[in-house]
Amino acid sequence: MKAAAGKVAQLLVVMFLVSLGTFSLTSLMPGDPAVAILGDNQSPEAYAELREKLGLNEPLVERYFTWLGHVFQGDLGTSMVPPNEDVTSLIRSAFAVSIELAVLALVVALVVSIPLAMISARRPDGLLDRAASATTFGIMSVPSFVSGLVLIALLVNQLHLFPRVGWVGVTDGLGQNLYHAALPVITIALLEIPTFTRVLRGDLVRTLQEDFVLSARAKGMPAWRIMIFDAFRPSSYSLITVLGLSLAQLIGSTVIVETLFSLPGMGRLVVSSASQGNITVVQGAVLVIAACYVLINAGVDLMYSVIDPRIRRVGA
Amino acid sequence: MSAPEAAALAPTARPARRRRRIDLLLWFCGAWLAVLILAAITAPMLGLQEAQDAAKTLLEPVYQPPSLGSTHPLGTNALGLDMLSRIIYGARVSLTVSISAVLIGTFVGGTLGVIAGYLRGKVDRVIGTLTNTLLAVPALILLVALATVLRPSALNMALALSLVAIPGLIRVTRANTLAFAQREFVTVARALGAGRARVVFRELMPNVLLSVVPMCLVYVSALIVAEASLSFLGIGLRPPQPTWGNMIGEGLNGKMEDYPHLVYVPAAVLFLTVFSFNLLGERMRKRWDKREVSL
Amino acid sequence: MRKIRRLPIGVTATVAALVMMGCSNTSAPTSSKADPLKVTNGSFGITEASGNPVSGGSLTFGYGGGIASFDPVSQQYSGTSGGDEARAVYGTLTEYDTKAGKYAPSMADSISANDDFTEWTVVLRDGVEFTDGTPYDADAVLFNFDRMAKSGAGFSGLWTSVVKKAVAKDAKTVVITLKQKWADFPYLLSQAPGMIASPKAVKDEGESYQREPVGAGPFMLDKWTPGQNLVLKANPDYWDGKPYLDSLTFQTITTGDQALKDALQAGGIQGSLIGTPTIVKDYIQPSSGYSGYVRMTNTGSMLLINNGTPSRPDTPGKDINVREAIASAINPDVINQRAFDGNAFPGTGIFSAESQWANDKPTFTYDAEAAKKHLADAKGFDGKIELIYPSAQAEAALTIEAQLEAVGFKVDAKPVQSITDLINAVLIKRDYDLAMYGWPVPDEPGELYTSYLERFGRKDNQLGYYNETIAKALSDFAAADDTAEKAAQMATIQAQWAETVPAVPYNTTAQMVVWNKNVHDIEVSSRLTLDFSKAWISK
Repeated sequence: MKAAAGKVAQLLVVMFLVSLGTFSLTSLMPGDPAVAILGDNQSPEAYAELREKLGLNEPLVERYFTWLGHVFQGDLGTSMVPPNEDVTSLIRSAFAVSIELAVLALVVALVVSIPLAMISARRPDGLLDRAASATTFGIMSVPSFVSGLVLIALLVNQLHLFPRVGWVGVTDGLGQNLYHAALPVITIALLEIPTFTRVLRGDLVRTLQEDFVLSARAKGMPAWRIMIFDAFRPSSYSLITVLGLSLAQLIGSTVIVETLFSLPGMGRLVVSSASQGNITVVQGAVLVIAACYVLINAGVDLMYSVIDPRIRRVGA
Repeated sequence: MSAPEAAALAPTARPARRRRRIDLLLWFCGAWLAVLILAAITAPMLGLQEAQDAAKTLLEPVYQPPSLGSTHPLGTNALGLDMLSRIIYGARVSLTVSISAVLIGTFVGGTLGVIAGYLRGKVDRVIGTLTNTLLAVPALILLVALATVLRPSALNMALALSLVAIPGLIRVTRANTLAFAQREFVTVARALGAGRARVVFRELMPNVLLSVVPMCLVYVSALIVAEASLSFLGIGLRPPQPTWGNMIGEGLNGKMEDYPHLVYVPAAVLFLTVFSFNLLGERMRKRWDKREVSL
Repeated sequence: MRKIRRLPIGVTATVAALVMMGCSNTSAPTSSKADPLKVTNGSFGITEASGNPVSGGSLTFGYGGGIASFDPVSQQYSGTSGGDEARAVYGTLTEYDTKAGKYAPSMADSISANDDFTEWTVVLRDGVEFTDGTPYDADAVLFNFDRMAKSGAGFSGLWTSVVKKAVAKDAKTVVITLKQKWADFPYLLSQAPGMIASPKAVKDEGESYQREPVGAGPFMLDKWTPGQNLVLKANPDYWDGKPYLDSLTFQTITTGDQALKDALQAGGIQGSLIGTPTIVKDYIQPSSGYSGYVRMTNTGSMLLINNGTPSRPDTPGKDINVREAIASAINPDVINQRAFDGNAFPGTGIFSAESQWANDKPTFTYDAEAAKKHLADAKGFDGKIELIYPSAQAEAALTIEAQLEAVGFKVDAKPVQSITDLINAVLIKRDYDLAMYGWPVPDEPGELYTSYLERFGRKDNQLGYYNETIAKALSDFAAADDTAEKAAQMATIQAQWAETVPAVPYNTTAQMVVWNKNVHDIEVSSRLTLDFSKAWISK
């Protein structure tokens, strides 16, 4: 109980530090909401007047604590740039995109990497293992902007399989939604496949040396059965940890993919708002991203201790 | 059918001599990095064509495709600057920035990690909170923010990138310190009356730092990619100073379609380098893990 | 043999993919250097549709911008920033007929002026209503004019400097009195000031009006995710008949013109707005299979010289010798070759060769020796000069830097992080020596006058340059209705420009709207805004 309270306290401190850091950093950025609002055809006085009206001339500390006060009342404020929407609703729609991309990418990555890891672990250092290892290494070494460009060149421009850009929400039809999400999802999944494969393969190899596997083998069980029914479950703890961390990290860190495919996710929301000096939106979005990260991490910790008997034993 | 397959499942059944085989891939990667680093260091002496100053290339052909026998073996870009030369000078920037970022990260992260792991208690909690704070903001977003605030110079870029490496290094060095602190040599040192600082800096630091070398190599490759990503987004180091990322960026907006070499030359070099660092780190980790086991 | 198996499979696979990416795109070889691109202002690739317009279908238009706010009093819409969307919702009182080269009434029934163009009478149509059922009448128009004048944003600065007063003569007649003679005043009413919002909705909705607009235009707002996409549906009660399209979607695509081209080809969008020379060139070929409208702009790319602003009174450009040296050092053909692959439209005159205002007055010519001589004449100048440029235009900037250094300048070239920074330095703080800036201005007289008035026609502008002759020529241009008279004024400006060197144009740019062949009857008006009220898609 006390440990839980400590965790919550630490979570709050982290959030506070993140918001303070974001606020100071964003206010140092060159973006100017007055320019974002007025464009490039007004008199210098018009900009000065608007800056005053937006409260941009007030001291930084004051602005921060005003903002913080509103947050404690559950109000993330409105965007400083027209059409001045609620920050909460902006984040809600961007978050939906990001979470869908992240979850789909993780599913795709798992679908590819679980069989790949099993094939590799069957004969460690065998031909297939080495081929898989070299391939995952290769994939791991391709930055997402390069793999994205390659995929666009092949799948969009040559084969016309997917749309080039744009996003269709789930509410506008699942088919269209998946059709638009496919290419970005593959690009993100490529980033995750190597890690997943390597982690799972390592644990599988270790598990396969354990007594219960040896005895199963001695009973004459087919190799694939042992792999799937006996070895997989006890080998998946690290994978689950990595999965959780990836999910936490993917929300907001897919800026490149979002930029490449013009997707309205959290990453682009933060970056484009920051370039306009739209500090309320940046603050809100980074706060939500950080909260997700911290909460998912805590969740992974918790789950880990529940499902892994070793940890429980150590804890007891 | 099942018997041989089942037998194959046992990794212990491997003949030991196969380990002795030469690792071609590793050698290939090592050679690539060696050549690249050597070229980067000796770049001014290689008699390369102009890489940066467009004032000197007003008469050079532009967008020349690669042709190995010619004066521009990898072609030229929009300003008539030599791609080979830009790749090598770009390597100078990309490698210096990412390697120094990792060094800074290792120094700062390593020190904090060892202190946290050795002293535990309050210090550990404070450092842990700071680590979590840095981790809670996605690395690329943090970098984008820093890159727009700081003036884009190699030093600033290295500092910003080191922030990405620091939290991970704190965590690993802390964990390793916890492990090492139980070891005999530490207990002995303490029994001999060594002060805290001595134990931390003389006994723990060298051992812990050595154990994170493979991870550092992987970080180098990750930061090369991060630096390239920033340049690609147009907020990293700017032309005329070449970096691999801004070279790839030059091919966007329709130019890649007509002059693919603008993109695939730097992309291939970036890939090979990142691949090599990753592989080196991985192989080193394997070797050391084994040593650990045999100890 | 065994060792061979260790070959880097991953490496080869990925390198192969990269090479494929390269090769797959070489299928369309270019002949760009052989034939410089010729662009004629106007429509291209338009073929007569067989059969009558058919109702139904939806059209998606994708471009790099998007509408920021639907409140027209706070915005300066254009085709690149929300003009199409706002026009679909509001319509405009007048429009520019690009074929006839004249302003014509649109939402208004008629617009006429007194003899010296100082008083304009706008007559509205009978029975037009906003989509909330309130009347589109003189009171509504005046309500909007009044908000416009007071908004302090959008067109309010220009509006208040030009318009003395606006009054209602009767329920459907508005009389506008100007402070000056302006034969092209309807231009203003073809833009945001001519977009009339429902006064009731504005009053009822308050701050949220900008997100939930009510107009009387051909389309109504259906769904909007700002910065992403906007879905409009046909207004069944539009005064000129319900539009053929059921719905019209605007998609914001910020990844650049290549992405737009890819999306157009892949079918995700049916129309787009393009500015990149290489891509403009692709579409304008008759074989491209697309239709659209293209126009050349004047002074598209400028090397702005600070002639001495309050924040930089001692800037090098204060000395005419320095400005002359810069003008003689620039070779626009080399910039074109290096920055635009030979596909842009180099020129050092204010007007493009295609422009209706093009004249035979002198422009700047590249002459390195003359540049060196001018530089030597600039007493007390050490050659050090700062150049700021948007980081996206590095190639052009580096070429300019190289050309200036070749004649003896010592250039400190500084990329700015964003367009916001550039606007801040040049327009707001006026703190720069040299800046690369875009001033794309079309031939259309209304937009041309207002743009140049702001930039160099008034005292206290971003160049720190003022010339009585140019200012007078510009206001005579506005007052004249006769094209030949207007052209004479522009010739005067070009001659003065060449003599006094306020800034150096080096390239003009083309702007293009492009759409699929089966899309018909999209009309183009001022500032490249599109009218979709009669657009239809053939099956």
